Amino acid sequence: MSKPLLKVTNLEKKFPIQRGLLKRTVGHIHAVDGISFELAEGETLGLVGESGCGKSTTARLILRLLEPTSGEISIAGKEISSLSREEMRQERRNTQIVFQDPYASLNPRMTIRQIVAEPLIVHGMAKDDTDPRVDEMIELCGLSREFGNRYPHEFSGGQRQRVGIARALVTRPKLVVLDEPVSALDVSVQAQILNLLDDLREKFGFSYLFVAHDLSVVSHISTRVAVMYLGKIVEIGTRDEIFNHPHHPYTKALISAVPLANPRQEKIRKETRIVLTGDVPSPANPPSGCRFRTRCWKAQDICSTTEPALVQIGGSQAACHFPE
Amino acid sequence: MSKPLLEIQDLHVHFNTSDGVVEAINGATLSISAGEVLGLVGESGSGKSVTAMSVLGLVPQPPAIYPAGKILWKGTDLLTTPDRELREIRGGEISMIFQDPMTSLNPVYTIGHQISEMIRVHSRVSAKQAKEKSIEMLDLVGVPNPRQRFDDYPHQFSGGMRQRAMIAMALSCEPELLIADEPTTALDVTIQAQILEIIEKSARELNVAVLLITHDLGVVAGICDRVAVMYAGRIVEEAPVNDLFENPLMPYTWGLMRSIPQMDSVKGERLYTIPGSPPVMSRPPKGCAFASRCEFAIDKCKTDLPEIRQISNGRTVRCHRVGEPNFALSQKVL
Repeated sequence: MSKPLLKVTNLEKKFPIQRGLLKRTVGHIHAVDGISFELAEGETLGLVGESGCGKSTTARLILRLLEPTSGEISIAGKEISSLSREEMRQERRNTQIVFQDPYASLNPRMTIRQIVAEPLIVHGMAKDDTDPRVDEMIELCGLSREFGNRYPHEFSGGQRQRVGIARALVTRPKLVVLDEPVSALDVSVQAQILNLLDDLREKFGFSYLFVAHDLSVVSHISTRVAVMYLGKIVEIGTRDEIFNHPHHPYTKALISAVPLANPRQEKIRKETRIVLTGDVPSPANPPSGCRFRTRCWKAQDICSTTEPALVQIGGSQAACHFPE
Repeated sequence: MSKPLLEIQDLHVHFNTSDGVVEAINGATLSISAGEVLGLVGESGSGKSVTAMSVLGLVPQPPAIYPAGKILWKGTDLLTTPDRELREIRGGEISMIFQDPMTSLNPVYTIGHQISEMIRVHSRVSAKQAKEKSIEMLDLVGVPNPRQRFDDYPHQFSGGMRQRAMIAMALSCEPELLIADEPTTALDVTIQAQILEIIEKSARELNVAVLLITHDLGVVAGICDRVAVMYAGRIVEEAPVNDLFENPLMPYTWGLMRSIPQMDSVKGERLYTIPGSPPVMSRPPKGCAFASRCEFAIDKCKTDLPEIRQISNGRTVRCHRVGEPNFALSQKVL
């Protein structure tokens, strides 16, 4: 593995729960609770988990759109969690984000060309939107350069997401964080965007942190995968290891719950499907010990008293007392 | 096959908007028999939800107009049924669950009150009997401690539990048809698995026919007997579930299946993509609506609308090219 581009160490984020007129803090939501991982150059790390597991919070912490409660984030060897506002602004040309909702994330009063040019102007890399890199990026993202003078409302969801991608990539960042980039899109359009992301990575060697809840999409695009549950990484490893030999019971259940578009296989899978009981517990009051124990069919006494650490099992790391 | 319960015949639904007439549905034909689970798949804007809402008379008119078509429920046309009679059928014989269980429950009444109300509207029972029946229904859909949870308000339920409550409500009057419009789209995958299991189990147990509307082909593969694929306001292919997935006939279905990323695929395989995007329904194309995106389209496809043709038992398709001697979609899907 080449040297890590992104290194996250013991990252933690607590959101206060405030009540009453005086906004007294009555507790904390532990959205991200001490996670560590690395992302190598040119790699795509998929971050999966159910809603509320902290995957989007992690993405926003890495860009410092949210301030971490504690922990370290270093990008290309530079510790970013202690940078000042101005230093951070400089640093942002190396890290960009693509958001989920292509409707909410584009300014309706700006033309496509202005939207894509903005990061270059902000970072002093271009004077105005006539910079040749703008039209070049628009075309690389599969839009015609004539579209540059149009406004977002004239485009479909898939085309808008292409604009969002062009905007993120125009500064040639090292790290691109993609927060559910295809979950608002239809299947046929989703395939176009996934292929586009693959092509652009091959051409420019971007590293992607791909946050998604859809395991099929994550398995398609990722080289490595991290599975999160209630603010913790429960398993992390190569894509093939995670999907072919999951070690953590949660990973196993998650994979088994995904319906495959193959009716004969589905009939067989249904017999052996692990249907988890109950819901994800509240992150304000997570279970003691292993957080998954309340829904785990293998849980024993030790699971409620001792929190399992991430340890090497086979080709991946899993946090479980009784790994598969 | 038994006589169909619901028959939608050549349904047209148009909407008058400030941008002109949007032709949302342009000749949809579909039927569902007692006890059958039928999947209706399509991308956003294909008209699948409007079809479902039309069955229950839930599309406000105006802006909607119904220029042609019939929706036959056991032989009577629901489009011309007076409101009073429709109200009996709606909820009693045909019931519906929606994508978002929070907005379809009333936040100021308890879950139990809402289910009991539904029962009491449709059958002559005492409040006590309705309560017992509600608890029984909550138990059936797997709500733990149904007797205690009967008095909870919707906000005290999680997303998955709310959807269970919706299913309990929908099934409480022993309907013959349950329309489920994207019932698991808002839910996490582990909860989705629970809800799909419940829909399938209770439908089979109570012998309720299900019209399952979804954009997720995986969901369809798991629980449906038959599948209809919708594109730009028309059903373009209909087939038993195994046949559809193993041998899709219409190029759209074929393309759609190849564009889904599969968990068990080999890393690095490129996804097939259908070029372009669906047509704008305020200006629908003349011939086959898919022609401009279809790699198999010939001149005729762009000018003439293909008729629905029966290919084999239970398989119909709307495509000029299917059945031509040398026509074959180039690759097997599964």
